[in-house]
Amino acid sequence: MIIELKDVKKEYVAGGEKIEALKGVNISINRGDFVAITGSSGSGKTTLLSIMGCMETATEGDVRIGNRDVDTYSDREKSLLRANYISFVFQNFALMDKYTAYENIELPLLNAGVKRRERKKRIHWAAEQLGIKDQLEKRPREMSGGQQQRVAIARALASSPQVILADEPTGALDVDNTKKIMEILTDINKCGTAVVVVTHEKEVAAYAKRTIRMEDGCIV
Amino acid sequence: MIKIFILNILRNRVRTLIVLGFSFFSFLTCFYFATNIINNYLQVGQLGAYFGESSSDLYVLKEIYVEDDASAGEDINYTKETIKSHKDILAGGFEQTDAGIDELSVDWRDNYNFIFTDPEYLDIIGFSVSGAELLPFVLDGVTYLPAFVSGKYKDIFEKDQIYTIDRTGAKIIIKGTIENEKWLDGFLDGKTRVVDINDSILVSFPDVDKTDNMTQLSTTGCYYIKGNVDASLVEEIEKTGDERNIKYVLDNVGEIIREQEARDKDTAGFQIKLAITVLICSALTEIAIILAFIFLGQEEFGIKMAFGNSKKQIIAFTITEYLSIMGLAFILSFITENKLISNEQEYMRAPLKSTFYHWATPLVLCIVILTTICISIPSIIYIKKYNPCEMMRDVT
Repeated sequence: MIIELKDVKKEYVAGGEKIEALKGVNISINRGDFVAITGSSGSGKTTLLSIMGCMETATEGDVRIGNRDVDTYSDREKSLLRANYISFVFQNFALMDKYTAYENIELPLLNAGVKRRERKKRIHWAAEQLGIKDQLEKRPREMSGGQQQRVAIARALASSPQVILADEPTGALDVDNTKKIMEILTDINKCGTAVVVVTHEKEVAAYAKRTIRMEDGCIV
Repeated sequence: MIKIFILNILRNRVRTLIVLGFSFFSFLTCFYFATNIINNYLQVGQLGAYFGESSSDLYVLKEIYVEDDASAGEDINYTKETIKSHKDILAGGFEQTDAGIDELSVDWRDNYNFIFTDPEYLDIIGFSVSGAELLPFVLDGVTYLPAFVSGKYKDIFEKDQIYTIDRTGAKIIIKGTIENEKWLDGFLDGKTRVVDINDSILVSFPDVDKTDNMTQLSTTGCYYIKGNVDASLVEEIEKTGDERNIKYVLDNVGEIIREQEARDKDTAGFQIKLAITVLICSALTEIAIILAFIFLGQEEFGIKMAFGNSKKQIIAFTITEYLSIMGLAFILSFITENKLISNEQEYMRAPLKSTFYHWATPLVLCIVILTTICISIPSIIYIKKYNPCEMMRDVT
């Protein structure tokens, strides 16, 4: 079991009003899983993803990552989980504009303490997998949306994570690029990495082995 | 980690340069004012210590008008002899000048620094050598002037050896050495410094100098009178001046020092206010610039957190980054101020450098740390409040 959530609740206070984003969610992500989380806007799917990635903490319930309760992880350990156990792919690519593609891919490897030579090897391997080897010295603004998302996926892939959490990874892409990106994620999944994709597109969800639908903070 | 840190500084070079520029300017202002203020304070203190408790009943004789330069030597000496004739008065002056030594100087450029003084002057200031030790003596019809050499000349002049001053032909005999002694640098006025005399020969005036025009004109302003200086003595001095067409004034040393202290205090007050204003303005500008850049690049925090940085690490990076920029600004301002002091006149250089290294630098270093803390706090608060999930919510 890579990630396991049991009866997880999440509450926010916004504008003095209490909002229940998750109302007792149960989900488990296993090795080799390809899960699509679908649902309308505000259904809680992104909150669920951020709790899975230790970016947020649950108000109630158990969250276990790597068979260990996340509450027992220190902040540094949670950061290290995000550096080499869990990786993210975001809709807006989340690339740092001032850094080259190479340096963007390098970020989690630096944080994981990977040595220089090994970093270089892994970056080139990931770039080759994604077909962006000739783009490594470019900055994000010099690339197309599809290329930027490939760099983002290469960054997620380079640290050899157990799971990739992708939040609307094709939301900013055209049909052609959507297809290519989903094929890349499918290939990654075939190599054993679990993939969790948050999406509201049926075509994207169709690539997943399992689809979870969310409505009003609950899995339906 | 070091790579991320260096990349961050380089990739944010506009912000780095602006902050560096403001910091450099404000630290240089602090260096400049701190060096001057502390130096003035220390030097007035040294002046007080140099004259000791006697400064309140100590007066300095200054000539403000001389009608006949040709007879000025004899005329001024006439006044001095009149003053010395008072048994309850201790009076003496000095002159600092270069002179050659017949036995040592190869050519006219080969000069030595001399302090010619009235022996009584040493008793006024409480020097390590007493006035009596400097009194001339006659042997076989020749007058010898006992002399004392300081540090730099110790190995050049031999004890009990006789040397001849080329300008006057006066014979000096080395009686000993003086170590770490202070002397007044020239006339006593608002700019007077107490300096180390590590390269001087201390000797009494040769007879010929007592009526020499240049020497005597040089000593007024450095001629001190201690004791019962009452109205009758002042009147008597003025009378000797009137007889020889010289106009004298007598100033109280204690008052001169107090006036200097007051002037320095006023200047210091203004400079401190100016330095604080510059410092606060530049710190506020830096905070505004840094926050603007943080706000514009806030997504970067989210990305860094999503890929393995903790908030603590990002805060540590931020502080280290500011500390590096401030450190660089400190080094640049240190080098600039050092250069500025090197361009000062020679007599000012040593005390200014000493104050700069021993006082201004630690003080400005404290200001650097304080400024770094001040400009870091708003950034730290902002980063602490930042929720990396904002990055995800923006787009879904």
